[in-house]
Amino acid sequence: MIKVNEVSKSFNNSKVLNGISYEIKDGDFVLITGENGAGKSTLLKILIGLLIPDSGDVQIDNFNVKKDWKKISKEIGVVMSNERSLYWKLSGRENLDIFGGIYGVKRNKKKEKIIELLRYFNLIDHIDKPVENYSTGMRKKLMLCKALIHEPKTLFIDEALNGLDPKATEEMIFYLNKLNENGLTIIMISHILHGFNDDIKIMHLKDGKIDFIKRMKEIKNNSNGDIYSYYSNILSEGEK
Amino acid sequence: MMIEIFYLVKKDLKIRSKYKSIWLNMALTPFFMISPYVFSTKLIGTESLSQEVLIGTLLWYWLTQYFFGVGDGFGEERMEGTLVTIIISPVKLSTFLFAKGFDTLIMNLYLSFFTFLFFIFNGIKINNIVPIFVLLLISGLYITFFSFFYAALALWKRRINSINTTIQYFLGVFSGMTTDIGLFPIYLKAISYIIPLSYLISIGRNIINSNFSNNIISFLILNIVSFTYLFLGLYLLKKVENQTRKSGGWESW
Amino acid sequence: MVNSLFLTKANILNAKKYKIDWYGQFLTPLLTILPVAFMLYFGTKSGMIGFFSKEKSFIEMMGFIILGAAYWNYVEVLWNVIFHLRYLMKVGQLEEIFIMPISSFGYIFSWSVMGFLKVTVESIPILILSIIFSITDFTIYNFLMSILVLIISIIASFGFVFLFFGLTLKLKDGDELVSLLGNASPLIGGMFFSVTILPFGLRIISYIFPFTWGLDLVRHFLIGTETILDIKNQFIVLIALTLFYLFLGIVSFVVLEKKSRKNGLQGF
Repeated sequence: MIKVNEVSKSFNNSKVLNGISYEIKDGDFVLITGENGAGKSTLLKILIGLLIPDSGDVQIDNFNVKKDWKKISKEIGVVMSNERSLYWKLSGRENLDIFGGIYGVKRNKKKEKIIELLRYFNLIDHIDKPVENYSTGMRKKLMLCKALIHEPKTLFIDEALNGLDPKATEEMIFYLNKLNENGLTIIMISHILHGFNDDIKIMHLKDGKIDFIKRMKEIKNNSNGDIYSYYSNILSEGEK
Repeated sequence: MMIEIFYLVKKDLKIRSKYKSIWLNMALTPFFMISPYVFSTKLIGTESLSQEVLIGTLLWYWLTQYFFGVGDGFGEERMEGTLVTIIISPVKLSTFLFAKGFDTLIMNLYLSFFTFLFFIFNGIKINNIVPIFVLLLISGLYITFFSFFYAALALWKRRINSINTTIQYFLGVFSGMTTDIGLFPIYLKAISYIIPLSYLISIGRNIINSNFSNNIISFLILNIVSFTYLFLGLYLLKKVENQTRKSGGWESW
Repeated sequence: MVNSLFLTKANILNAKKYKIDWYGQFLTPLLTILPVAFMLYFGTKSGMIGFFSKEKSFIEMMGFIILGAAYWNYVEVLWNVIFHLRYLMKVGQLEEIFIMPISSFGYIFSWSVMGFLKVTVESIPILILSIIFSITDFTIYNFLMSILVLIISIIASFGFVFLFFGLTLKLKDGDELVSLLGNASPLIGGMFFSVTILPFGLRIISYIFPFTWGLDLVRHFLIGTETILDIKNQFIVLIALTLFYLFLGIVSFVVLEKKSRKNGLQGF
């Protein structure tokens, strides 16, 4: 369970987040959307403890993220948007070995887990190639593997679908849907909205506040299946 | 913590193994960098002076590696693009720095082996090589503590790293890398006494001249000074970590 | 080529934001000789050091070394181009830079201009010190001859830059070789003492290094030291080595750049 309580944050006298409160239950899949500058990445960074809010707090499973962020780090997985967050000179296997070790995964379990993840994400044929030789899609998948190596309860993802071709995007969304169906809590920032399961929640941020939270099913019903038109309307009319 | 250090050191060694030139550079550069100072003494000074300058400059070279490896550890990781990945992992900043210290120790032992070899080929040997080797091993710990403080400063005031090399030279000169600090005037000695490297060089020179008993006081003061830097470094590191988490400035330099 | 000067402008604008970089680099030439200055000064006071040959006094010895530091400053500054290239590789900006309408020679040129501007500023304290330590053989003719030798040395240095630029594009870690050469230079180039007293193996390496002959000539013209060979032959050796390294550098660079673009510029 993640409890966000009246979180606010400013940078250089500019309010980025303004009193955000929300509860994310175990097993939820929350898609955070919003225009550029709406505060999405700022909120995600506060949730994972990388950023401290000016006021308010975040609790993950009764741990205070501000104080206990290192304790919590073993229970969460994070996929940042930066492809360079892997060691490019090392292979996929070596990256997972290192990060698995850092996250405390036991040796024998880690070996199995590496093969399992790389097979699941269709990277097994590239297991010993250096990451610098991977395509963008392959790197994004490996970043996901890295975030899952220690079997976290919650996965945080910051715009991992950017730069992927349609097929790779579809693949990633398929994997994420499956992981969520198996019980993983996912909080994800994304501009891409199609392909997700109907019961995921969409949290739309605007001007540092939660504009609305709706289920994908509801949005699809209201938009006659054209989610992007629905969003265009929201942006132009400011619907709540 | 030890497991985390193991994997971080493993990571650095694995990445370094992909660049063959680094190993060549590390084997040869120390000899070339410190030999002008050592050969100068060979031409115009006594044999014991050559050895004293060798141990002084080698220990200074160790310091430079720690200032690059530990002191600039965060900067290196940021340039690689993996700093945030490490920050959000279970690894504490202090653990990260200790890992960098251990990695630097391994590399320093590697380069010292070749450095001694080259100097022996050129007719400059070191007396009491085994105690000197033990000194080098333990100096790794004390210089790591000193570098901690510098690393915390560098994380706080990022641009300090631009003058990393400058600071290294000043530390080397004032710690007596080429000159016994006993010959310095009092106002220079005052600076020397707050640099852990000064004591290490003094101990090393005493070992070369087989004056082992003179080392006890130096060793005690070395511990006091080094641990002071360690605690200051840890305190500053915690402060800077909180500050950076508030400002969100992990990726800006 | 002229377009590439906009890159120099970018570097200057960037440098203006990070003034602290200048403070450190301003002092670097002096810092290299500071340990030996302390050693000579305090060593003499303690009696552990005596001097040999012409350089009998501390002042004259320091003049000898300071000139070496000033010369190396100009020669080595060009090699920072390689470190800059490596930095762009590591931060993932190399491909961005290379798709601009500037040739690789243009990059080397623009990054060098910035280097020369910096080193001229950095050399001011050294030049002032040299004057204080009384360069005794200073005449206009000698000064112009030493400038000529410096220009020839810089051309040789460009040859090294082209060679290592190509190597770095191909091998990625070419900057390690530049670092090694840069660190070896004070010893094999005769910055601290004449190379004639080096062990045989090192002396051979020294003699195939154009800067050894260049520095030796600059010292002869400015402080009247003896040269390794007679002046005319030494100029011939310097020019021959300069042309050799320039030719080697350009050819290697053209070949290696093509090969690296075939393999792709991504990665570091």
